[in-house]
Amino acid sequence: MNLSRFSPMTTEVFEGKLTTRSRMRAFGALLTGPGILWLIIFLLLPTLFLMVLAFAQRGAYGSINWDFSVENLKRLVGFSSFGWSADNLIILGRSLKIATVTTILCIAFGLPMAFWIASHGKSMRAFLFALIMVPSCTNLVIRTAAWMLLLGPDMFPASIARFFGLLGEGESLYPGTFAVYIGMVSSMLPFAVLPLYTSVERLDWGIVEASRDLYAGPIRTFYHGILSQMMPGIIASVILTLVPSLGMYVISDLLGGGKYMLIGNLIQQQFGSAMDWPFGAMLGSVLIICSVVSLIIFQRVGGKNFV
Amino acid sequence: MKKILLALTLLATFALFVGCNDEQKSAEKSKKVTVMIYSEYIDPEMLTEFELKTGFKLQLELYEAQEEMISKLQASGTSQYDVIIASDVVIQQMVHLNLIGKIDTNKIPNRTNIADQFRNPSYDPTNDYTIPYLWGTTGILYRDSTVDPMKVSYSMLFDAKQTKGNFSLLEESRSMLSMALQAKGYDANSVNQKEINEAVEYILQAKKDPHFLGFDGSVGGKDKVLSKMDWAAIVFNGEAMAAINEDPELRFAIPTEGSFMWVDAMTLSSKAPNVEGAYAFMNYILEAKTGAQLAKYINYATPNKASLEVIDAEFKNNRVINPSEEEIRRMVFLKDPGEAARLFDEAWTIVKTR
Amino acid sequence: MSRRKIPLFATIIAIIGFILLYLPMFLVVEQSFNASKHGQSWGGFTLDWYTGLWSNTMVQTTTVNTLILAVVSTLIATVIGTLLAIGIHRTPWGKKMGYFYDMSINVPVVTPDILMAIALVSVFTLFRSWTSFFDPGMLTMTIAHVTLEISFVVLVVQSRLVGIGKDQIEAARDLYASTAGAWFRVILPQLSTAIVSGAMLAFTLSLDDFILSFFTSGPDSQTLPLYIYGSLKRGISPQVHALSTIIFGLTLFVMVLMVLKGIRKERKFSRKK
Repeated sequence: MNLSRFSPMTTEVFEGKLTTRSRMRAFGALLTGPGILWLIIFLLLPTLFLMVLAFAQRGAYGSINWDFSVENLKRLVGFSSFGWSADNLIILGRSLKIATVTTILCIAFGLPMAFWIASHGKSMRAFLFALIMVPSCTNLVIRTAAWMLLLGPDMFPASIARFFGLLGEGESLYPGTFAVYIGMVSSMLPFAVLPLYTSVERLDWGIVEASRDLYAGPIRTFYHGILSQMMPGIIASVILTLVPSLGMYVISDLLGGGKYMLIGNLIQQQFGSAMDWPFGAMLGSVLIICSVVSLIIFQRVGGKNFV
Repeated sequence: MKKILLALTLLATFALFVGCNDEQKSAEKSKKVTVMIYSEYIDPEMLTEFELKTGFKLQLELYEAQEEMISKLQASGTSQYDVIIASDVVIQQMVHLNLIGKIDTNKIPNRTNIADQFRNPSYDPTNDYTIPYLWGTTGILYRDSTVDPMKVSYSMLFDAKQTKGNFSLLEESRSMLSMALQAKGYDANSVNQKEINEAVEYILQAKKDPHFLGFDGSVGGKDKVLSKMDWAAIVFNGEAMAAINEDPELRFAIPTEGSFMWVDAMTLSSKAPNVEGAYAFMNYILEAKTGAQLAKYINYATPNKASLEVIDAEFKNNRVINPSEEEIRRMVFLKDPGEAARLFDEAWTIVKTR
Repeated sequence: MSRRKIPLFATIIAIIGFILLYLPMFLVVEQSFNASKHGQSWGGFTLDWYTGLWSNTMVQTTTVNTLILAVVSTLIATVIGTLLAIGIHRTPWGKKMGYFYDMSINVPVVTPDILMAIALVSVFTLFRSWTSFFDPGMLTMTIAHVTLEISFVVLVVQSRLVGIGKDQIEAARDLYASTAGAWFRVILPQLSTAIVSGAMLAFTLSLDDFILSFFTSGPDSQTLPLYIYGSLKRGISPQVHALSTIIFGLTLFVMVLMVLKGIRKERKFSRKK
């Protein structure tokens, strides 16, 4: 877009039509208007309010005391009543680890699933694709509780694991890390497959054939011919999986036995048992800022305006 | 195009739906009592019975954790609720946050049914804000009929040498820390930083035990003991009762070091739209027959002395539901920690991180 | 696109993926017929939980509320979100505006739901000082759900728009199509899969949401997740399993009908050929 140095009034060609930049923008504003207005009123303004709240203090009995200070920020980096500790950072690291592993697993399962669905006839394809979303219509808590039963000591997954010697007698697969990842993948998988399938469906197979014709091996063909075309879909799928899993804590509480806290628990606790809204707002604001900044960098570096 | 039309029609119906609801609201307001209550905390039959008796339609809004309930009321106001069921530990907080108002006890003739030990309680010394609903205790559910429940100590869970099998602790910061405080010989309501620190260390040490399965809610702990994944867990007495009914091998104990009891009370919303209806509901719950029905249905003890007379002897003499005098003496009510809330919060974060 | 063969190992992984999705569902169905209340063991076949649903008015009203909320919020979010995605994509916004749009779309995705709930409720409280329109109820819930869903729709639609490229519109214009015609005849049909998947995503988000619903709901607008959430702490009542099975069965039934219709259409099409 090296046209940007022209002044707005200059006529240019957009979508094969002679028009001015400002006219295009006026029409664009009309299209984006409702959405942006909605997001500003119901999202950006409330979020800004939270960021102000983050610098207030907890008053007696959980009320809000509007004395502004950086106390919450200090507390966030670890200065607690019990002296400095790395607890908050450990919590963040643990959450990041679970979210990252979940995302990698979801993409690893999601890519073959997307291709497998796409390899069927037209209506079968639509059916299988819809089949991905059907379990999500059942509440997350119910599905997670079903895993709790399934991974119990007397069910067949445990017997299979015992047969292969992966599990001792009388032990069960749950609660534990394995159970957490099973539950996470099972609930996040649909969100990973959605954008992947959309991009598999519009793959230009001509490029793949061209790469074959040029004697590229299957791996190179897959990498250069397929993966590069799917990058926007993969990035969308990473975002849709990584970000929600970062805030997810119900699954790790139920399937992991609730031994360890995640960032979601910590924030929830501030609006729950601790009744410390300002500190909760501080935790949340920092999380939002870090995620948005890294997402924008990710999108800009990962390609020109992929998502 | 068809689809767009369909979408628009749906939207219009929705707008109508919302609009109509508004008109209906004002007409219904005087005939409806809205109660904010824990899920599965009332016998569904009582909904119809209450309507037959008083002419008020009973509408429930459910909540699961009372901190969330308070957050919600704090954020969006109390003007849509008449009666709010809340536990003893948060009553003072709700008074200070102006979420609940004073009850005119003269409007509740059945108040005389309240048992003496629930009059002038520490959480509401003047009886201005609460009418007790149900009460219960917290203790240890375990699988060993040879151990006498009167002699059970916290070391059964916390001392790695004495644990006989897997165990779970309670997933609730304040309750669990208070129990650890008592296990260390301190007051459950202590706000002393050094003592809380010791309680934290005590739980952390139990966490290192390979028998430790995790933190669980009362029901989760009960399910794990029932399915033999756990040998012992910390649960409320109502859950313990249900478990013992299913498996007579199980026992429930109030630890010798002490524990805490709790009362769930009915409070009047500070902006109740139907105050008269709210009183009618409170009065209805305090009836002898209703109190007994409620206690039997939920499996918790009733603070209603008239109900105790109509309830069957087996339920009344059940030690799990109605603990002995000696056990009651071991137990305390938890108080709002006030300024120390942050201390408990940070302590819990440490417990759950390390 | 013609059918492509994919390697065997990919088929196996794909099938494992489907098993991971459906294994818990089978257990839910099994539990709904299990006479033993706590589900640890099989206590015989029963339909009690289903008949119990029939007389449970709370479940009925909350189910209706949940469906209305999900359908309405999905419709609004899909329309607004699709327009937003197209508007961002086809307009030569400057660099600064580009960042602004990126941020507005990313914020809802990365905001933990409890924060979004608290923030929204605070703003509703502010609005309520002017109008009672924002009393907790169906309207505030719809607003909250739409806010959550919009960016997910935008993300999915956008990832498809990027791949279509401007040359297609230019080609259509060269063939004397108007810009509007090019968009409606050429681009929108290609976008339909993405729009549908965005809508499905939005729909499931709305069905599953607890936190936003809890904070924005009033006593007249209780939804199923609010009713079910008790299961997290109180153990799942078998009636909830029965209800989930019914919803699951209905969704599957509709899917199968749609596919059968599609297959018939395809056959007709090939016969004509």
